[in-house]
Amino acid sequence: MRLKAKLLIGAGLAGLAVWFATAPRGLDPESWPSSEGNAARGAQVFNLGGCASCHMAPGAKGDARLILSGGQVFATEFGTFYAPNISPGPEGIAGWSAFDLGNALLRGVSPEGAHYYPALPYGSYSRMLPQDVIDLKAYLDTLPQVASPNRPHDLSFPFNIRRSLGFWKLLFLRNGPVVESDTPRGQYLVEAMSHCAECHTPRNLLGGLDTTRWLAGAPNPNGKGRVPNLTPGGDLANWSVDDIAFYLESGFTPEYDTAGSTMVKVVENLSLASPEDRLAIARYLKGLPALPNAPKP
Amino acid sequence: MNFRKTTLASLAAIAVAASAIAASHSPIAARQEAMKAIGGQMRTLGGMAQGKIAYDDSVAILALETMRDAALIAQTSFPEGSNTGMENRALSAIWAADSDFEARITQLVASLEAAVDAAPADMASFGPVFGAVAGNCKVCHEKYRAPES
Repeated sequence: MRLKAKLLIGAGLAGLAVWFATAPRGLDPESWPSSEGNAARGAQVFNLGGCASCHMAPGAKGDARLILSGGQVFATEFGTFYAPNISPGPEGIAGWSAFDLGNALLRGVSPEGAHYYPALPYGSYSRMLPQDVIDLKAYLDTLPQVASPNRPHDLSFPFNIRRSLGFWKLLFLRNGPVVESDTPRGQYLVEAMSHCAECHTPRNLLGGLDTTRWLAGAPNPNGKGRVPNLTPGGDLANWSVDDIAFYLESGFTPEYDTAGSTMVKVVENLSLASPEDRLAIARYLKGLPALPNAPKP
Repeated sequence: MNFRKTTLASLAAIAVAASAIAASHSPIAARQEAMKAIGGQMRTLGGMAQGKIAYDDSVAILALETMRDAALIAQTSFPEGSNTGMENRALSAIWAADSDFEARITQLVASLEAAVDAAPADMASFGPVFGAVAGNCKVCHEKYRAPES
């Protein structure tokens, strides 16, 4: 009987510890700046961060990319995600403060204090500067309101338990630099805002990025083929800094083949970025530790 | 005809002839050759557009003519269901009921015919002509070509 009681207490304590460890943790409101947002700068953050690619309606082009109705479908091995409405209307982010947006992007925590799934790439955005979030919020508020309702994600057990994301964050959510670089702006864009690693770095079984293979290419989550290796040891070995910057602007490789797959959307966003930012991305990539392509499975 | 122009013209003729020979065997081989010919000329024209190669109107116009001829071959080299038999990345969406592939490849040919007719004499007139041509590549590849495996 005594043993049973001890076990019960032990299990209870362990449960409490798990509950505590997996609790969503937001940013510290005390350290969040109270500065004003600049919508013009926010537009640059929007393009560099690739917000439209996931949150616009499926297949939107041109100005329709700014109607952030959500609704795109992302089928993954964990289940199916539906991108939410992030327009400034009531179905979107009406009533959010810039701090709320900061919690979503930097910590993956909703204004109600729940975990978001890392389909929202906060594993990269965690490195973003608060002022960029504040500027982004000012820009998002200038975009059209859309009434499209949100659709709940359709996930399998145990991924359908949001609390389990607390473990994922304990294991994988970091906000320091990943590699050494002498191109701080390029590092910030690639590692944080433009979240290149989310597709170009392979993941482990739990969906965390394998930083020992940083940007060295990965299996294509959308099906067959492989996401290219961006390190100087891989697919871009013979590309110059200018070649990479030109590709990000035009979608043309040095052989004048065109970008494919989801990279088409990335080029649509980055073609709107500044030439200096495209060059910074290119310089960071050329300075990466060279890693060979993974052997074909 | 200067030397460079002659060389380019014969290269262009070889590329187009090769495509025509391939066309008699397999539409897949024919369109792949045609696309390679287009890509090769794009390197020259893109280099000029980026200012990496000095603009030379006779070279540019010849390149545009070669691309037009290759695009005409490509246009007729996608018969219904022709994506089996050898390695290729054409998606069956090309022949789906809601496909706009035909309109898009027609647009590519039209942009090249317009470019050849415009015969851009200098960089200022070349820029927009080149842009109108180059914009056709990705819209089609995005929708109708499988990713590299």
